[in-house]
Amino acid sequence: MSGYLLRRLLQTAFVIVGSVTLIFFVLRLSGDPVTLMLPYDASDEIVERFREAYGLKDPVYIQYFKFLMRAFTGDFGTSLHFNRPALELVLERLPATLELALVSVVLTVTLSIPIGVVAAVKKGSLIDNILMGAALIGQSMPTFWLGVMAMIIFAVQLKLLPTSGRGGLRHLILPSISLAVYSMARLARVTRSSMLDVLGEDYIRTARGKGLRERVVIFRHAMRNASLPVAAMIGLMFAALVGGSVVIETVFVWPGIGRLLAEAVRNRDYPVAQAAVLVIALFVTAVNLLTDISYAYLDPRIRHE
Amino acid sequence: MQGGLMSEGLRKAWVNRTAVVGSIILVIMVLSAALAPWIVKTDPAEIDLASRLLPPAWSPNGSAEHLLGTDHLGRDVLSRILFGGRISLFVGLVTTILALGLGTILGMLAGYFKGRLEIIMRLADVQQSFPFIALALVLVAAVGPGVKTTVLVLGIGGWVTFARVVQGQVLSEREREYIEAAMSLGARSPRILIHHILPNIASPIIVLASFAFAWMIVVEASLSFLGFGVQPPQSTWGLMLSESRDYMQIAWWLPTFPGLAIMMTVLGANLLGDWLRDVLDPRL
Repeated sequence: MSGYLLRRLLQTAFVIVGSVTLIFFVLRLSGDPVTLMLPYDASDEIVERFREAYGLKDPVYIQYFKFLMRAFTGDFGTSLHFNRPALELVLERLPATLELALVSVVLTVTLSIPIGVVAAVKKGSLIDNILMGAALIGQSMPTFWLGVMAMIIFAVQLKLLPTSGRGGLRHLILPSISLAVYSMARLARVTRSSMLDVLGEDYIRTARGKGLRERVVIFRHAMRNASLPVAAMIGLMFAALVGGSVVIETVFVWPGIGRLLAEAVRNRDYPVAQAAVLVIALFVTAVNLLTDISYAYLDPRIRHE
Repeated sequence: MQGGLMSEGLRKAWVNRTAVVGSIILVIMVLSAALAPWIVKTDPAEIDLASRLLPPAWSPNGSAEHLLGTDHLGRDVLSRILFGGRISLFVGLVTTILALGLGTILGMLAGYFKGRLEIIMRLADVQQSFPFIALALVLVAAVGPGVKTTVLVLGIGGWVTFARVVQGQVLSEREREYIEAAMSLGARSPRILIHHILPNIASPIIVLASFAFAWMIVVEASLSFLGFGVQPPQSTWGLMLSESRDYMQIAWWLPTFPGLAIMMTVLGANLLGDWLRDVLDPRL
């Protein structure tokens, strides 16, 4: 276990340094980062002072080194739009995004696992066909379109729920469901196929053969074994949800990191965009690491590989 | 062998309704975009402020001239969906090909030269830790939006999935005896990779491509919706959705129909992908 853990931690460290490096070089893709960071009509004098202040006159490798050091102390510079530290702005928005993502994950897991299990147990039945048809359609709908349509129906036409903003539970319903539908559909399909694989195994036949009740066979024997690929999927899903929140937060004017990122890109507020992307990447990396560790804990075959 | 597999596949496709439905949907979407000028007579860019925000033809206030209604500038929605589909589908296709090419080449190299090119898969790890939209936004911020940027960002961004699968396949394939045989006959690495390994790992690549196409359509729409993808006056389904945001309170048809177009295309590609996976590669 410790060997696996160490390898996985090293890999994570590499991913983090790699992310910072990638962000550094993306900024320089367009040539001169000053043109990205300053307004189009900035005077020559301001451009000069800016170069001086940001150390842009140093050779690239020294700039890169400095950027790395600053990034690790959480210093991404000052927002050009809000005139406040970029990281502070991003961290302020983190709870809103987490709230949305967590509610969506809970919705996804509590709904799609039973759906997948029922579909697998009743394979080929009308229920299976309806559930899997719905999952296929759910998987094919762009998240943001679903959000817009849900808003038109439930907020604009029926006036049941608020159209946008963050507040109580009522504000959470539309964005979290819109965000969750895609992962629900995927997880339901994965659960179903994983259950079907397990249900065909010999030990299930043995369990049935020795006269166990079907309920015990499904819950004790089949679901436990089918849960491994499902658990692996939940980690990946979290990353997808955080990505999806960039768009869904814009649709519902949700004050999270995703919307901040989109706005920062629109305002050419590069320090904030960098900080937002790195916080998102760090977060996803951490979730992936946790998933892998718990997965290895659940499945001895992995840690002994 | 290959021919037998194909005819067997076609026979199964006929039996398997999902494949038929998926292919029919995709063919309809592609044909209607390709034949757009012959299907609708209205110019998608023609502004007619006198008939702005007309509902679909079957509504009480609808006009027979505009089957799916008009937008805030009086442009015909159906015409814009058909012509916009040309760019959406084109971007989807080109980016899929780009991602497939890049991912296959890098994945083959990483798999064949195992330890020496480990860096490729570590790069894939790094890229996968960014939710794709977030990475795309930062790239667009650096390079500037437009069709070209969108194609590059999506094409380069999509390589990871292909590379992962291809690398895994090559790793197991290179241990097989026919590779050893080819090597002992003096075949060089490029020849082995292209003539021996590639044909044997083609199935999973084809399956992935149809799912990737579905994914590209959605990501392009998302980027354009946020205003960082294809720019006006060009039009795509995602851009139409973006433009509809200010009017959705009074004109439900503006977001509804372009969204349906995206959904049908993605559904078609997913159905086709599901079927291809069943026929070509049960392992995936």
